Amino acid sequence: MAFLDETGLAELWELIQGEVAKIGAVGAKIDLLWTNASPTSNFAAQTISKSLGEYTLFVVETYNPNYSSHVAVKGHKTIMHANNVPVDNMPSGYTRMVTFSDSKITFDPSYNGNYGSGVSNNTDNSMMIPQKIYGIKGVS
Amino acid sequence: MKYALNLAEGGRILSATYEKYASEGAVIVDTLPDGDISDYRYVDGEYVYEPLPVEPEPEAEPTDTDVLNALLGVTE
Repeated sequence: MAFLDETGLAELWELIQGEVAKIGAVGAKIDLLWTNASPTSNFAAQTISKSLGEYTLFVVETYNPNYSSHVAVKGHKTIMHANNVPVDNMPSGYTRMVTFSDSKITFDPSYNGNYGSGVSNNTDNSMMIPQKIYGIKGVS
Repeated sequence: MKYALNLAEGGRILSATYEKYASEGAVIVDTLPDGDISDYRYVDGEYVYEPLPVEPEPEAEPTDTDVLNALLGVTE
């Protein structure tokens, strides 16, 4: 086995740093953008102002009835739902819509039941409570 | 640790995050109210306990069995 002297170690370290920098330069980066400081409180429909211009993808972690995670693309209205599989092409169980733009995150109310007719009768903001939001940038 | 409040019109608390994730111009506070923060409004620097009224549960639609039993006079 060969051992590196001090100069060799320094050169190796410089090489590693260079490779790490290259990975960082071309790779995507994930930032934690928001954490719910009251994670079991009712979460009504609301807008959260945020500068999101550099992000293209988002991950939202929700809680209740269980922990679930949802991926959203900026500019698309995304259905987050949990607890049941879709029925008749409509998500059932618990549902909340979220939309990301360059400057804000818009959450709709949470609904309990089939997402379709009469859904406004089933608002339940104790469900699908956002816990954490991550932003992904550098996607090429 | 400090918190940033997201408030609706009238000061109703919609949500809270930590100061490091605060939106520009957000209200920063030292503590959060106990329990469900959506039961409070934040007015003139103080928390006012004011739960939203509970909406009545919508009445369930009768099932086919319920209708049939009613026609036949069957009681359970």
